[in-house]
Amino acid sequence: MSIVLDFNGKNLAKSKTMDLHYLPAKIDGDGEANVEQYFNNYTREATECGNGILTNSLRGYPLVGEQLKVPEQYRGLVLQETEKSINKSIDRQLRLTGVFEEFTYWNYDKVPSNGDAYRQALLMADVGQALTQHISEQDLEAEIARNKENTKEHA
Amino acid sequence: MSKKATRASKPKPDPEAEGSSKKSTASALKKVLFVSKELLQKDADDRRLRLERFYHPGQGKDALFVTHPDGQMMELLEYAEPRRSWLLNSEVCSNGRIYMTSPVDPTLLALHHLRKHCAQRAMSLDNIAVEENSTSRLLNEFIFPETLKCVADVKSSGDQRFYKYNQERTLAWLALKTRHVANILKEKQVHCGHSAQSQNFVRSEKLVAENACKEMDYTRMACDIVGRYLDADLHDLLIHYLHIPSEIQAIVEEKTAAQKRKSKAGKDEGSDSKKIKLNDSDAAAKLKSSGLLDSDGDPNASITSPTQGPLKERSLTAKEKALAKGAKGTKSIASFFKVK
Amino acid sequence: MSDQEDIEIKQENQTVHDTDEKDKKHEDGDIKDTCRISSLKTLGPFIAAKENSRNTVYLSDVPDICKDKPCMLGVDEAGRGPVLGPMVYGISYCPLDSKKALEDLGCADSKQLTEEKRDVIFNDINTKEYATSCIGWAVEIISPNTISTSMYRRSKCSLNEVSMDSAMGLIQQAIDAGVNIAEVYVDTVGPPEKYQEKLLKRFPSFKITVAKKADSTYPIVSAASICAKVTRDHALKVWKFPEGLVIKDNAFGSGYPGDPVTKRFLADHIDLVFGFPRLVRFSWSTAENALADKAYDMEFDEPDTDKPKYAGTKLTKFFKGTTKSGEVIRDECRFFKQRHLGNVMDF
Repeated sequence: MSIVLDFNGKNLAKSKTMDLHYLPAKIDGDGEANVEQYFNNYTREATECGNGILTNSLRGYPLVGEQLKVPEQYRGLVLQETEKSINKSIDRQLRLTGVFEEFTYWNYDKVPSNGDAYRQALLMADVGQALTQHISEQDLEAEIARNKENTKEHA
Repeated sequence: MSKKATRASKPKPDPEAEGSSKKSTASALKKVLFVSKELLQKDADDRRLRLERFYHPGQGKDALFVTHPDGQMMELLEYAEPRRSWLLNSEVCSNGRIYMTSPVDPTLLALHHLRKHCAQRAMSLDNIAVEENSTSRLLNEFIFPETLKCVADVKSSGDQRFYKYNQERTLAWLALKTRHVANILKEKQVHCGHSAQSQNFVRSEKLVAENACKEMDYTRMACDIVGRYLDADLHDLLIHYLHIPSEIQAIVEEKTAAQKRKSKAGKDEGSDSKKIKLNDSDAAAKLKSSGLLDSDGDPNASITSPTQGPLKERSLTAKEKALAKGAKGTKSIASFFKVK
Repeated sequence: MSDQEDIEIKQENQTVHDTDEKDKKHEDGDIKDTCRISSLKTLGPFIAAKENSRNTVYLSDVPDICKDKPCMLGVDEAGRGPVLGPMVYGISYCPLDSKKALEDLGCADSKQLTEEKRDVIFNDINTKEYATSCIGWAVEIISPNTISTSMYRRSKCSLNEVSMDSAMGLIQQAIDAGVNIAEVYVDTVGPPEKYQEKLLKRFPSFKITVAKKADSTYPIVSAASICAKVTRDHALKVWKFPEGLVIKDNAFGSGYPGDPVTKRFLADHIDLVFGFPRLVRFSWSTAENALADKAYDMEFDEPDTDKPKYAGTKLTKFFKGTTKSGEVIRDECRFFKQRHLGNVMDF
């Protein structure tokens, strides 16, 4: 059984851009939320903390955030399962709810920085590139020879 | 904040319930993804991406990969900070993960099957694990037979190609991969050491030996990253091939050195020239033999070899020699505890 | 207020202090001026024009005499306990020899005063010549949002710290405005010694008295108390909810946890995700408890676990775990673990 990401090029091109906030809290609930009145209304720029730094709060907890772009090599997608089939042998379908190029990243009482786990995690994209970098037959032969040489030296 | 269990009063959508408010049903299942533009379809492309399960040797079980009908595949990773959630337009989403695609060399996944089935005899890909759907799909749809040459001997007979696992080539290939990863870690200045406070040392005492250690830290972490795609025993072989000392040994060495630095700073301030000697010539030799420290004259030397010259300049006092020897991997765990 | 749109929203903590405004107001006659407080009537519009999720500082004009003669200055607060609305810090000052004016105003014992009487005195302070010529005052409206976010900082900032910072900030602004301060009287609910010490350190040249119930002992503190209390009451009256709620007559009750009207208000205005409108001080246990069973559970990093998550390799790392069947558990590599990265097994 596999999962089909049920959208094509056209769907992607026509998809609506969504407004996302990445909140620094575990919230044990899903569904409608009064985001505009209870949250967006209170976002303020905090230039004293740096260019583009934003502040807000969530249930009284101070938030510090910034608008972040989705890393260049990616597109941000929001997917949604249409209905989970009871029949496990049928492929599951995920449909495209929307796309995003940027989102608001919020920290709990901490100015966003390169030390944030999120930014550190994005390094994986570079590591992944290195991991898939092609290795030529020539380099491989050279490495085998070098290793042989070394083994001999130590023997 | 309280950590109370889920309460009944909450409008938990029931994904099984048909005909219930579609909106809330769906919202519970929304997920946020970063998908590589390389995978995403262009305008007229009517094909679909899929999430498929393949055996992940490092995990020891199936994991999800994103596949494109044209034979491209990427690993699906999740960024799962413990306390995160999303606001998506005007909805809250308790799933605070970011799912992101990450390039993976399918050859790494194939290795597990080659070692399992083709260690003793050469086999054609369509004969390996015919009873395992996902394995034969992996080997026949997503592997470039060409790259298998890096890890196997290939024999051709007519149209058919037969593969036999080759450990020597595999380890060399993995070592080169490790080097690529180590280089990117270095380029991105990823902190690879085991200690969180290695930056706190006094500047004048940032020793050459420490740099050699750092080289090894990059190599160790790179090897761990490559290793997470390998069977455990193959990972161990790679560590051995690259002559990477165990980390606990490295920690003992560093702690001993730090202690010496401390006691030295108390005794003879100002004698900067009298530097502390780790078993650095040893470390350098290991690095060199691992092929990760380029030799002089190598065009890549600038990347890896700021450690070269000064290595030989320093001499050991008898006491330091004794300490360094004690730190050289022969220590028991118990003795490590004494070193504060 | 119909003319509010025209008024520039002032930045947090910005002091509104523009002497030209007064003359302009007289010229404009009836047009309401929300930049200056010149009477009880103008207090509400002033507050309403400010962002109520931020702090607002207001300084009255400094009577000339207060710049020359040595002055006493009183400090008091209003609205420390309630779960709703701002806490207001107030100062008032006058020359040491102007006690008569304070007595004439009726500032003897503010706790004995009714709300109406306080309003009258506040109006007199701002309109009666005998008062405006020798008494100045200032308030800081500390928004409930600021109170919550301060108390919920990763390194917690107690309400006492918020209070002292506000008090000292106001005194400093009075100094900056040219008030010749000689003596300072502060009402406190906490231990006076610590407070006094802190104030003396910051303002070593003043004679500083910190005492419990100072507002009934020192008329200048009573005056400060009245300014603070009247400001807090008006802040609640004119409170507009950016959340879009409309409460008839803004009847939230006293804000004290025992008040049934307040209790009802809290119970009736819970948002599943965001909890309450930001009129409410989330950091009050009353608010926390009210949400505990009615809103989604929410969990932030524990403030005390704010140590660096990764403090060196733990020794236990080197003792490999095993499963029940004796298999060695493979640890995810550190690069992934530190970054909260992992494979996806289920989707």
